[in-house]
Order: sequence, then structure tokens, then C-alpha cells
Amino acid sequence: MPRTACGALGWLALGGLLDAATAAGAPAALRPQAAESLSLELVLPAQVPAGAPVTITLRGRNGTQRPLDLYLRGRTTTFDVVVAEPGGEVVWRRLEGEIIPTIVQLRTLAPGEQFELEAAWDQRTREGSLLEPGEYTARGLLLVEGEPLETPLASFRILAP
Amino acid sequence: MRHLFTRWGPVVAVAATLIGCGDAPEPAGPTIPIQAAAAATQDRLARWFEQSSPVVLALAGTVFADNDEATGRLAFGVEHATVIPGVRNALARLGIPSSAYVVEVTEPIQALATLRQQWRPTQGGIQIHFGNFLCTLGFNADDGSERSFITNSHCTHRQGGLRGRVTEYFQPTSAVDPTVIAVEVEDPEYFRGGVCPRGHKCRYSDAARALYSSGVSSTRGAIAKTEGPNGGSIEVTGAFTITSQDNATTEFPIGMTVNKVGRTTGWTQGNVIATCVHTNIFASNITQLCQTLVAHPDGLVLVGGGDSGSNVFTITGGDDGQLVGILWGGNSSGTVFVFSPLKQVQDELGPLVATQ
Repeated sequence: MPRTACGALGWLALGGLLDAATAAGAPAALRPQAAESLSLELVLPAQVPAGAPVTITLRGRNGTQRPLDLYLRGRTTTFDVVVAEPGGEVVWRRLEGEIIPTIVQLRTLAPGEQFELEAAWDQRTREGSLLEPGEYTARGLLLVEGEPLETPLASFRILAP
Repeated sequence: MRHLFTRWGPVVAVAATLIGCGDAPEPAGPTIPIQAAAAATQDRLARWFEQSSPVVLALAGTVFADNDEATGRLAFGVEHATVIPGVRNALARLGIPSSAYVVEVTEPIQALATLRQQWRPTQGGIQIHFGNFLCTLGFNADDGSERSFITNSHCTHRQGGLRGRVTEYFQPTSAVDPTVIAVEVEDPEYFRGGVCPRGHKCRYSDAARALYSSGVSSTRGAIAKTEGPNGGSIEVTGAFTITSQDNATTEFPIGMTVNKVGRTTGWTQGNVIATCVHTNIFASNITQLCQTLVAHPDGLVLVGGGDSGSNVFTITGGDDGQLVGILWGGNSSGTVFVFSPLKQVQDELGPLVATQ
């Protein structure tokens, strides 16, 4: 089990965000429900050796007592990762320049159910060069029908060789 | 609504008159009796309105009931003149004299339906559902004698090819209406080799054809119109009419304005920013060849999840349009969408007639 950089940040509640994306004609069993929420977090090692591949996991969980309906973009669920310097300047964005099918997948999370999505990052910047050792932040964005759902920031350090 | 507006108009007018009269020379004697008579009339109208409104509005074909103090009469709206005798009879039974009301033929008042609700006949731009997915019905078209609609190949159970589970479509969803409105009948396999990048599979369009069920009505050449463009509304306010098709273009002029209507972001409009671009699809080995990219100069959101299959068209005048392609993807922020030219759709699916 890797140390998670975001453990102390806890879960981000996203109650009500799905309402805006309600499909009036969505299957009754899959309709978004108003007072419910999805918790999201981004999990990655708190420290990584320079140049080593980094596994980034976006974890979502239905922390409510009722089924939660998600309208997820893509034939396979898609999420973005944004890595930035402490000052906020973005150095890498997973989906930059990517084209994603605009289909929506309906998925219902049972109470307490969670899902995980994984991505690998080679520590290269948007320009293709390796990132310098130092402190960085990362956040994940789960693509849904409307505005993406965002995780809290997770901090991590790239260690000097 | 009309009732609310008209109810208070005369009251405000009377109040203004009384205030204005405060500094005026002594008014003539009959003022108070006239006001008292007017008040009595209004009371009587209000009473009749309370009695008659629920009775009249229960009749089929009635549209509104109004206590119109401006004219001192009740007003009733009906959809057709044939409804008027029934309204008059109902009012007569309540003892309301014909001099106390008018009955007029008016347009029915309808709540605006959205792109995500049920539409029969079907038209372009509305929501369709299969499996656990939502997409957009791009446009209705005839393939020979087959009444069909076109959506994306990725809006089928298997992207490319007809092997395996047959895709059945519902509109807006199977829960709202379990009728299978159409089934996928044409969706060419993706090919390898040739111009296709090594390790990838390719097509020139992300398009599939679905054949309508016999009992499901559809309107060819109609695309639902929402308020806009780029207003974010999905309420349908009218329809675009496809009067022509661009069956020849694969490379569109940069800057050319195109439109789309999809179930998630409604009617949006942007400009061509790149054309005939071979486009890899994220997290897959699929390459769509010679596609066109569209964005808005101000970076507005033009596309969202669920818009897959949207028609792409130019406006030729008023609400008339020329069909130019089918939308299938976009960037993560929704500020860029990608479409397959109609020519390439027809190269792969065969000739289509999509005009009204």
C-alpha cells in the first residue's frame, strides 16, 4: 500500500453537483439524486524518485446510504490529472490535446461502493522534459456530463537523484 | 400569468387617482357612488371567476381563465372554436350572463420540452439510449427505402462491425419508453494498414446507421432547435430544417462557422480551426482519419458528454441549414469538438438522403 499524499486532505464531498447534469429522461433507477454526494481523492506517492514512473489513482466513493448515479464521459471512464508547481503554474496535464468521445456512461454506485481509475505518468512536462526535483501539487478531474468533478489537491515531492 | 398581470392593473390605477385627487378641487358628488359600483362589479366578477375557473378549465380544449378587470369581464381561452359552446353552457349553468365574459380562440400554452425528453416524431439533436450509455440522435436519413437515423459508431455496443450484441436504441430512455425505436444495421469495421498508423485501426467517419422500427415516427430533415447559439439551453424552441447536404467536402475552410445540436449542450456554434486532421482517440488504438476540429473564438464550451452523434450543419438562411457532418468527440474542457464530414459518412455508409 503506497503512502498517500492526500490522506490528510480527506474526502471531497460533491453533493448536488450531479443535479445540473440530470438527464430528464434518464432511466428511473439511474437518475441523479439531489442530496447525495460522491467523494473523490487523488492518490499518489508522497515522494517519488526523479524520473521514475508514477502511478496516480483517482478514487471515488459513495459515502451515502443510497445508490448514487454517475454520468461518466467516455466509453471508458476518463479522468484528467493536473500537476503544478507550488506557485500554481501547470507543468503537466494528462488530457492536454487529447480528443475524447463525447458519449456518456451511466453508472450507479451502491452505498459505500468505491471505484478506482489509474494513470501512469513518466514525470515529463508538457514540453517533454523531465521535471526538476522539488515540491509539486496534483489534482484529479473526473469527466462527467457537465463540469468535471475535482479532487482536493495532493502534494508530492520529486526526490533528487 | 395573464390573470396575475391584469388583476392588479385597475387597483393601481384607482389608488393613483385617489392620491392625485387629494390636492385637487372638490370633486363632483357622484365620485364615491361610482367607485362603490365599480367595486361591487369587481367583487361579483371575482366571485364568478372563482366559481367558473375550475369548471371551465376542466373542459377539454380550454387554455386559460382570466378575471380581466381592465375590461370588466371574465375571459376564457380555448384551442378551437368547437370548444366555445361547451364553455358557454358551463357558464350558463353557473348563472353567469354572457355579457360578463368573452371566449376567444388562442394558441395552446405548452411547457417547453427538452432534448432529453420523448419526441415523436423523432428529429435530430435529441437524446437516445442504449445499454448503459446516452448519445444524441444525429439526423434522420433515408438509405434507399430504409427510414433510418445516423449516430456515432461508438454509440453502439461494438464500435465498428455488426458482430455480437445488436444495438437497440430507446428514446429518450428504456425506462421512460421501453419501445425499441431502432436497431443498428450498418457500422463498417475499422481497417488496419495502408494510411492507418501502425498498431491502430482506422475509419474516415465515426458513424453508424440505425433502422427505425415500423411504429416509430420520424421527421427527415428536422433538427431540434434550442435557444442560442451557445446559450446552454436544452429547451426546444423550434426546429432547423435541413434543406441541403454537403456531399463533397472533406476539407473545410478555416474560420467557417458551423453549428451542432446535441442532448447535453444544445445548439452551439463555432468556427473550423483545423481540417482533415488524422485524430487519435484517447486511451484507444483508434484513429479517425481526416476529421475537422471546431472551436469558438472566445473559448466557449461547445460540447459535453452525451453530445456524441450530434449533427453538424451550416445555416443557409433563417432556420434552414446544410448538413455537413456528424460530431463524435472533443477535448476534456469541451471547448473543441471534432466531426466527421458527411462525405466520409456516406463513403462508408452509402448514400443518404437527409433533407426535408
